[in-house]
Amino acid sequence: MTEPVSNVDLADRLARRRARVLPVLGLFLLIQQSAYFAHGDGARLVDQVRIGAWVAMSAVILFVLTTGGFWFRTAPVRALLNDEGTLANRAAALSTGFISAMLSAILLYVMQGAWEFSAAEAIHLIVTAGLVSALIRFAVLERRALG
Amino acid sequence: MAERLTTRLRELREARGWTQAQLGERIGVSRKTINTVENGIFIPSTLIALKLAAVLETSVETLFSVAE
Repeated sequence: MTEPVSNVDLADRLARRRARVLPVLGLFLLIQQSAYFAHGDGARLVDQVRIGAWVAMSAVILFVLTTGGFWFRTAPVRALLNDEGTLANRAAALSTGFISAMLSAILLYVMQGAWEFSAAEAIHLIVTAGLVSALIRFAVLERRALG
Repeated sequence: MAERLTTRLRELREARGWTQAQLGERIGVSRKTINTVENGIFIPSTLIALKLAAVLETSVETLFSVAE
């Protein structure tokens, strides 16, 4: 018979899983980004689906970063997964994401004369830079904290 | 000169034979947060510091000090 897992142990396992999964999500976002730039924003149904998938994934990642995820876990476990230490890591990650998004926006503004790009492409780059950098920072901080 | 927080948390926890998870359970935080406080990575709030001191039956000043 297996022993019941305490909330702290369960939160620890889930936090480890989150720290492993988040960089993979960032990688998926980057892959989607390269597919978008390789095939353009065509009017074909497949292109629309691809763009829709990118929008949905970006929204989910943003929601995970701002809420901590694990929405269907019990309140005590969610409280442990979003305790003081995690909130500090999330704040640092969101700060990194904001700075990355701003820097990429400034870079695109400066580059607009040298490189022709659409508003949609610029938005793709800014959102991806912000989300991926925030995901990576959060994962690094969490892994360090988990020891 | 840079100031940093030093803590006797690990020493006092181990004296009671508790794991990081058991201490976390007692004050309602994750094992990860206890680990970061013990390693000086994270400076806890006053609330957590008071809870730690209470559960370890010591004072916050005994638990934490400022080193230069």
